[in-house]
Amino acid sequence: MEKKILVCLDGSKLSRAVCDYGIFLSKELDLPLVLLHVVEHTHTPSKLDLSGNLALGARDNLLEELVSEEMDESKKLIAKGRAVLKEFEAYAKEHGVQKCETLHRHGALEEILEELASSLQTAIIGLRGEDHNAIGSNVEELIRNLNIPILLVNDDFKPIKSVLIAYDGSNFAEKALKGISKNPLLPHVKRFIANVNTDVASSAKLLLEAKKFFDEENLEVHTKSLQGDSIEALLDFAQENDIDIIAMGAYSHNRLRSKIFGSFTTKMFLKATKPLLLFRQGL
Amino acid sequence: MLKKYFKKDEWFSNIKNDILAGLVVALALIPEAIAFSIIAGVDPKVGLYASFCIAVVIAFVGGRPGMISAATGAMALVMVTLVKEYGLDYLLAATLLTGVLQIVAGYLKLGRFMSFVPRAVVVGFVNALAILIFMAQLPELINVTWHVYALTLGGLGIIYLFPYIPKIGKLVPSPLVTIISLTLLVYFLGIDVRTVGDMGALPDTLPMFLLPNIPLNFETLMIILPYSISLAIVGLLESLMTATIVDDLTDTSSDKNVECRGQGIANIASGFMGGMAGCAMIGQSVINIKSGGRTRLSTLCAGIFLLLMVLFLSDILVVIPMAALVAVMIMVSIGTFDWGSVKKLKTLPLSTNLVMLTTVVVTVYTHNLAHGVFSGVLLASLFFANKISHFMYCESVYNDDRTVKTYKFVGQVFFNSADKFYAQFDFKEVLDKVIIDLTRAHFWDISAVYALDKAVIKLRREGCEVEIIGQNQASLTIIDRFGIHDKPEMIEKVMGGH
Repeated sequence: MEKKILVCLDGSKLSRAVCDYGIFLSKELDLPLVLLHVVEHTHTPSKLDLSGNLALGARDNLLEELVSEEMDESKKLIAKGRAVLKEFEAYAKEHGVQKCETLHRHGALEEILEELASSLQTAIIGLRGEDHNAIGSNVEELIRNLNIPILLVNDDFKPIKSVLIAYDGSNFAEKALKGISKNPLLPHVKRFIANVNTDVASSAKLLLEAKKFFDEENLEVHTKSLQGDSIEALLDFAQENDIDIIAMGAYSHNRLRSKIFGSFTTKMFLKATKPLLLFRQGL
Repeated sequence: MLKKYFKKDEWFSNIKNDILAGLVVALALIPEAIAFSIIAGVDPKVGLYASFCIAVVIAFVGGRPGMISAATGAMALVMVTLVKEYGLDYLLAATLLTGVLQIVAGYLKLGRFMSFVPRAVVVGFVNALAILIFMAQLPELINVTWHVYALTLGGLGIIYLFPYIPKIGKLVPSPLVTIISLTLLVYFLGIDVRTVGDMGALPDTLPMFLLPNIPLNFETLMIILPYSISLAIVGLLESLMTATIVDDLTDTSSDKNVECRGQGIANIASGFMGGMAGCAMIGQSVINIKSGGRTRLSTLCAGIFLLLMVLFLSDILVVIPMAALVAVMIMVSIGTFDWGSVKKLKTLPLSTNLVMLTTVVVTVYTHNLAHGVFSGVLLASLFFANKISHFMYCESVYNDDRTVKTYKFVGQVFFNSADKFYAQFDFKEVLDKVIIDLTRAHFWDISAVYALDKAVIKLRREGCEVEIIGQNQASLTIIDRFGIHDKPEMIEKVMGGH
């Protein structure tokens, strides 16, 4: 079955950039584009009633009240979603995407993505909002449950010409790397593999091994050993070399550890100014 | 592990509303916990400790966020004779065993058997519960002075009219207003009526870990086991039904097997802390949703507020007149009652109404909701079998000289329609040959096969050749392992005759 490129549109400022990346990848890989809008129900009550009493038929009345309240809310969300999907479908066609479909679903984004994951090559999501902590945990939950690469978009679109692959030499990252080299999501880009390590010799050895995977597939890569704080070093390198996106394995440690020590992946996407391509598993 | 027990959305997605709702629920839990302790025949502190423990524990381990569990009337009714005959320690032991049974039920995924409980039985259960809660208030209303009636009616008036006062009406729980105003009235006018203090000891300390003082032997087990089984069943039935009600109200889903285990864990905690067995509460859960509670936080808050209020206000609690509690409990009973079901009595089929009413009558008569539900389920199954047995008929055709007759059977043959199947044959008719065509019939059980065999033997004894067509297809439905038939093409093959 032909895999698809999914873009998640919510109508926020980043939706255009998200869609642009979708169009870019869809053309690059010649895969169909799916535009998704999820109607997320808040299920939070809007009226305050603390009277605490129960009259005859209380349950039926309460149900009736909640249903009509949520119906209004849902209708508004659906109308908004339809408009967004229509706008971007036209936009995608305008930009030369042949196979483009829209998908409008009820539920939570993570559950919809889980349902669709097996038919997707990759999913593209915009990072929105100001509350960084809330985003952190939501995105973490979302990515942990998916085993397809996710492109997190945090800024306006730029054509992807170069990619920086962050590599720490762990089994997890090695698996991701092997996957990428066998089946590159971005076949026509300039690739850098960077490793941050104070021990220059072992870093060089790791990078040499990493390069081998790509050499075997006749793909060109550049390697670079970096020193210092890993996140800062990677971001600085990306800045200096005008890298377009950063690719890395995501959430290799278990939840408990990431809750206590904070996760490298979460810190990375909170600080990064470039889009991140996250791999949960090798492709 | 961390993910399983701590989903952020299930805790902190609705903080302000959840805390307020928790407070409203806690205020309503106090009179209920006291009232249900009185039903069970134990000190009010047993019900109050139970409500605290169950609410707090279920907030973490339950499968239905936003549902309220505590000491309940349904459970209290089951334990009455145990308390009367053996005392509190046996009740605590039975509570622990109930918890163990419920955890086992959760692991065996018995929650799925709720699908055998038809809607009419659920409605009957809820109505019976409402009636029982109301009836439990009657002792407080019989052989009392006119003051009690006046106070109770006044209390109900405040409960239902106070919310109509602009602004504050929707901000202050009206049951609380009732309790405070009736208490002040009785206290300052010095009216001589029964108060909570007359009903037994209230909590004076935090709940403490204690082991029931019972002999650990087979005899004890045999005493508590029947009660524990009843308690476990009633508790799970009410909890799963309430979970479905909360699912519907909030348009979200819940994990019923996790809820079964959670109820078990909560009951074990309650038993070790000197509390009675409890389960989910329909009325309180509705109050919680109505007040804006949606997540585990509101359940946790309800438990904690309950304990704080009971500990710091115990001096005040003792002077609350029983009439105020009776008024609140009558409200709970009215709110629990499924009023829509009474209105629908005229339009629903008689069999459905009979199932509902049987559930109510048996429950009210036995004071055990499990008995009511079993009667309801049994009756509903019989009605169903009866309905299905109508879906069978027989056509017969003769050959030209009327010596060969073909019986063509269409429909469902099983224990209830086997006699009807047999009766289709005219054994008095003189024939050379009978062809029984079963291509479009379904044999569901051995009764059907037996009826066929009987007919064949009788026909042969009368000197008639018998040929059976399509028996293999008809018998496909006898196989018990439906797992292999679940695929659409298999169902098509088995049911293909239609």
